[in-house]
Amino acid sequence: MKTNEPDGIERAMIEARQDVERIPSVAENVLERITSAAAPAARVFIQPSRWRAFVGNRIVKYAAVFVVTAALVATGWAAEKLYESIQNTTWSKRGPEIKWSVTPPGGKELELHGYDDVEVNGPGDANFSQAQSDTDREQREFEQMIAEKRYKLIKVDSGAEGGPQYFYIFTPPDGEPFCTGFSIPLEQFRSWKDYEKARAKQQAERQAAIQEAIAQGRFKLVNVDVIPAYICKEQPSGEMIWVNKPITTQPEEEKQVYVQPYPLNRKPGEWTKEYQMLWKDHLKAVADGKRQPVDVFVSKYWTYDVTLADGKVVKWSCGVGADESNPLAGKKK
Amino acid sequence: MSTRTDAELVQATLAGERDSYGELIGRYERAVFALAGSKSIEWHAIRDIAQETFILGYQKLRSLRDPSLFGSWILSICRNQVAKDIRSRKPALQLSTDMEARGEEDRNMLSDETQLVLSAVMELPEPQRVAVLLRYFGGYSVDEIATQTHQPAGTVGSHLSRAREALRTLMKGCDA
Repeated sequence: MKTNEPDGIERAMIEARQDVERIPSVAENVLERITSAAAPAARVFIQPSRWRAFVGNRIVKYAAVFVVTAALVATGWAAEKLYESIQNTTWSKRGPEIKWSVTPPGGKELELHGYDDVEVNGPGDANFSQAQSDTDREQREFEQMIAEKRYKLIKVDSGAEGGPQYFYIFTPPDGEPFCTGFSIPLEQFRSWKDYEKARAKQQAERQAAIQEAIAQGRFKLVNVDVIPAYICKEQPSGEMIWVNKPITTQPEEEKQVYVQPYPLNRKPGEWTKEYQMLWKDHLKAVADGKRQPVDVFVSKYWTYDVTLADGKVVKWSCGVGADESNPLAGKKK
Repeated sequence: MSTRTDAELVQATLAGERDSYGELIGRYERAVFALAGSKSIEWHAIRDIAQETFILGYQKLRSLRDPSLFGSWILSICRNQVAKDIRSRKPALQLSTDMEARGEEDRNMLSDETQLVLSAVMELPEPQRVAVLLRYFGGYSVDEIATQTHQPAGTVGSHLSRAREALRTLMKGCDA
């Protein structure tokens, strides 16, 4: 190989490139690993709040439990891809309680409720007041960007509840872009409040459409999942925690569990710090005596395809205790 | 390859579109291979470094302030991975002159000549190294590199020119 002529370097580079091009691509392996490990990518500091339905015949006792179950499913199974990316500490603010009901044909009314929570992705070492003030500031910035229409639509995907989800990129004053999804295109709104009103109306219409479909028997059970949650006591602090093991297809050793303070009852506006850790690390903490299992709670999560009056099929789910049977069983036409 | 810019692909990745990240990998993996190949001739070792580079890049993607700089950013991650890899394992394979001994395995290795070139590229100052990797291994034009690195095209051309001079010096006496 000649390298001391004017074009010698160019030739050497071309030959080296041809040699390098023989190496098989790693793209598939990387994407596979990203998927299986749920490696974090997106900064989603404001989650579009969501609520899930659960049967309320034991509401007082299990209300919070079912909310957690719903959140878990959203995190590990049914939600947008964005949710898969969250591995860090999150701060969760309890939103207002939402109640409604469905009545299957010939059956009794099932009371449902959930919470319109807001989740905030925060650094693991953030303290409560810092997270709160950061969140307030970021929320103000976010609302300002909505009002000034400083965002860009980057894709439309199907949302967890069956409707379209519109994903926008925002660039706040700190220059770090983030992305989040909305159930209604943002361009038509002058403010965040306007969007929230429209979204509430959309939710109410969706509820009404689902109520009607279930009342008329237009539903089909498509899945049921069992979700265990472990009540544990941290040692030596004595702090009680709730450890959820989500439904995912990941290998057991790569599974992330979702840890929250216990008991789970929270007042509207109350913040809690939550985090994820590897299931194997949880087991190690137990084996090392740093975490003492106290009890286990198992819930079932029932999912149906519901056919609305316009023929559209949407997913609808509700959570019940482990000893409860299919809440809509034997009722459909 | 789509006509979307690197910045658009980064944003789409942040939105959860993993295929967009696959496209970014497709754009830069040859340059990453080249950088990783500066310290190893075995494909599997090179691919390991490349994989770790792109996974780390994915994990840190949100920290990338300017998405249009993805190319030079991922190369800087790769350079750190190469340094880390060198610290964490046995010394890289020495260049072999015994071609017969390598036999069939030679198919899964870079040639000695290639590694010589890549080792010299690794010695270049960073702006020159990035320009060379993007030009010769990424296949980008001077204007495209200027866009990717936020530099005037003349500056990129100057980096490439100086890099070629430096490479001549670095590789002097190594002619086959």
